[in-house]
Amino acid sequence: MTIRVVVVDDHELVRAGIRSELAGRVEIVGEAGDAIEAVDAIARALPDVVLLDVHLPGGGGPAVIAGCVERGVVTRFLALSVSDAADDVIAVIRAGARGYVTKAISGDELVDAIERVAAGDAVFSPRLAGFVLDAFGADLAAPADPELDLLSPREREVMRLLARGYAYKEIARRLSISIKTVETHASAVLRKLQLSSRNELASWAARRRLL
Amino acid sequence: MSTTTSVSRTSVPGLRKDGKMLAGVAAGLADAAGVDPLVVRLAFVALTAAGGVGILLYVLCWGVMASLGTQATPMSGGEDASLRLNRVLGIALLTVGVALAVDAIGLGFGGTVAPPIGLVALGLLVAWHRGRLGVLVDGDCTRLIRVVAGLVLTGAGIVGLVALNLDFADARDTLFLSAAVVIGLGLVLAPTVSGLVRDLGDERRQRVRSEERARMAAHLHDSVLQTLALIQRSADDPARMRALARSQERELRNWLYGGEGESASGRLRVELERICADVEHLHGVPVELVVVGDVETDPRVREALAAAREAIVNAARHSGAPRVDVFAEVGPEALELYVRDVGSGFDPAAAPPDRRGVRDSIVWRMERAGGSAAISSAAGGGTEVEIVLPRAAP
Repeated sequence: MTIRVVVVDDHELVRAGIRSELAGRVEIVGEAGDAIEAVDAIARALPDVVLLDVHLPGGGGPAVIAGCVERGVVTRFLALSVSDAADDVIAVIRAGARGYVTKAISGDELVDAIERVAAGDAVFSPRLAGFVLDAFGADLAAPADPELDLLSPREREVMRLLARGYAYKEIARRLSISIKTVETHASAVLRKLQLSSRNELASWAARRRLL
Repeated sequence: MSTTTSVSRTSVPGLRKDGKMLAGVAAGLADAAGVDPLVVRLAFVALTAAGGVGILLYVLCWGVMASLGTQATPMSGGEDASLRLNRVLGIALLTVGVALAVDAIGLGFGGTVAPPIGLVALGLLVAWHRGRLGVLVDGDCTRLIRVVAGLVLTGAGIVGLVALNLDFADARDTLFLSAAVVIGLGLVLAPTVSGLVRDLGDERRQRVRSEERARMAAHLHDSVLQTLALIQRSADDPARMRALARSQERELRNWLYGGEGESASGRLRVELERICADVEHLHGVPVELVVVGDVETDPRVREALAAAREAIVNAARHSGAPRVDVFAEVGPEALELYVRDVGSGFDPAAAPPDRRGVRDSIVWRMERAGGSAAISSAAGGGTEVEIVLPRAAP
């Protein structure tokens, strides 16, 4: 069964590019150019995955996710952007996106990322992994609740390899663990990123004036 | 006469080119007054017969009318020059007329002023009439002669004026003489000098402008045109096209509105961004940069950056990979840089000499800076260059 996808981007040209990249590999069941249109299109099509631009007229990516949650639409979001700004990317992740990739991504990698998100896993582009490493700084004081808020050494290792541009299966081979374990680590990091209200992330965010 | 009716009347009298007998003064006056030129001419003749006032009057009118411009001359390319000639001529004649009047009424310094003043006027006329010093530069002989002749005539006029009117024994008169000579020289050379200054200014502006244009053309050729060519060649690869357009936009924006990068230089992140943008632009391969932490650059860090640049260029040029990943992390103990591609890879042991050279330069550079570099690659398995620089010098 092919994955059903809605593409949300305010640039027609970008949507066309994505359409042609994904043609025949996933089923594109809707498109939208702004936040309000996007919520309607998603509610109508009920896709497996929404490819979501971070910057949109009418509220941006986080507004689309919030709108869908409000209307009780259950789907998964993959943020797709040229944005270099950590603020925007972290904001859309914290709103609930399952991953973030840049538009420089190749077609194969994008299909791979969509499949991963559809399966409920997290997708880290090198850039997002870099943001995570930056946010959960390298030299932190001992955390009060290490279970939830600090990256484990293994998770940090996974993030560093992701930031260096390794794919999940290459990371698995390098660390001599299964791909499933790499995915588990990635999902754990994503959850921490989304749920963490801890000092490190908060102070990092404050430094970057976000949240 | 028909000339009065064939040309429309104007309130300001001017010299008439058509139907003139001498300089067109009578015809012009008659035209303005609406009478037959013959009447005016007869009046001039009568006044001349009665004590020579007619000649003086004629010369004065000529001067005034010439400086006002010629009437009934159609606007054309030659108009400008001839109008200027008329102005100069008019002013000269007016000067002579006034001098004649001064002599006639007997207001002189006891001597006569009209002939020397006339000489000065004639000299200025000759010198000013298109006799700018431009001539000395373009080497136009006739104009040069004109300036010199004007100078001689004016000088003779001044000397005459002084000799006829002043007493050299008087110190004040000597001062007068000096002043007269300086003013005369200034008058002769004024248009020449101002023209020269204007020419030089024009030429400099022109040169600056053409240099600027050349610089811009060179830059646009190196950047935008090259990128457009690359985009045309990668029309079937949207991702690459986007990357090219993106890097070009970034580069052009920086160049146009730039300085931001310049002012912020000295930080690792900024320097790396610039290097990656450069390589993207030069080789058309997207370079994905991730930086964690930041640090001031110092000579050692710059060595590491130079090594990283080598590695990035190498990956972009040789690997054939669609993308180069660069990761930099500033940790508490060390700066780590990773340059990775998923391209063809190579067997380090069997590397061709040119790549060995680059590799050696990366490794050697890092060792000299007190760090290390390692290259892991396998044929078909991509390449990763790892550059490590301890924070504190060992």
